[in-house]
Amino acid sequence: MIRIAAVGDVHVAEDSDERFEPWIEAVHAEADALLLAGDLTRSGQPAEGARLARELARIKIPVVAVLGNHDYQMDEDREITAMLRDVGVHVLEGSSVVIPVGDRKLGVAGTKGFGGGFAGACGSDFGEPEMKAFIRYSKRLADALRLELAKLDTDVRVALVHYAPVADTLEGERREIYPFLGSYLLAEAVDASGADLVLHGHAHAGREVGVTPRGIPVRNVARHVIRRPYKIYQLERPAVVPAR
Amino acid sequence: MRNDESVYRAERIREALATEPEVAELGVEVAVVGGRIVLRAIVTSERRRAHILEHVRRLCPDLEIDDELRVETLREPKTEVL
Repeated sequence: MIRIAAVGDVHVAEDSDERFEPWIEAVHAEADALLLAGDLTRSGQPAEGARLARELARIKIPVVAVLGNHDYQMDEDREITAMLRDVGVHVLEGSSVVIPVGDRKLGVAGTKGFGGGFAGACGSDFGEPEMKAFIRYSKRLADALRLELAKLDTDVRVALVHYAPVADTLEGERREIYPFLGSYLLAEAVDASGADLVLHGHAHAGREVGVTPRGIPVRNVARHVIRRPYKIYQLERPAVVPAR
Repeated sequence: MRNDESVYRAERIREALATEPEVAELGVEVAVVGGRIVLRAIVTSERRRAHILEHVRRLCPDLEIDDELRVETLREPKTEVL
């Protein structure tokens, strides 16, 4: 059994309330790892990253994060990433991490991901350079997720993204903005390589539960959606017995 | 009759709330109706709510605000078995 605590869109700022401090003991007792699905800061300012890093430094279970669009706002994403890594957070972007949990292994592959829309109503790699760049960026991040998931040889595999991989979890958002909320390319990548769970944030007015076309569970853990400091996902998987 | 100018003004306010670093709230619904601004969103704290209202008052001192901002309430953590 592997227990994952997850939340997205915590939007830490210098003047915000403590996001994790009141729950540290509980999360230590209830979870084997904490996964953060992007939009960690309010507006991507280094001071916000520093404040977040101070809070996360007190968490003694592994913390894995991807950044979100808010964390890029001031073009200080690298500095924020460095601050979080300095306190031991695994910040993923087209990369993955393996976390030992007792005799099991949890693998997490992550990318921020990007928009573009969903099958039947999405942008194409066509036309102006800006439009092509938009879609190619989304494709590049989804491809990296596919490759990283495929590399993971772990008991449980989780895809951690910020943008939504399916439209199911956007229900409640205005349909006009779906292309800015996610891309089916992320779901296609997950379905191609396989995973036990996909976690995302970004869609504050969406809903929690969705599924990829191949049947992999998707959960929108934006704090506004789960309306909890975090949600625990308990993945029951039989231990893999090595062949003799 | 629809007042198109109010649509533009509402969008300028919405954009300002999204891009001003000290606010950075992308999810605020803004409508300008008959000399009033309607603001609708769920925000993380009373302080955030006050900050947004103060910012809008500065942007539009001539308009009354209909404050439909609500502060989120968090429930206890919960477990789902998958």
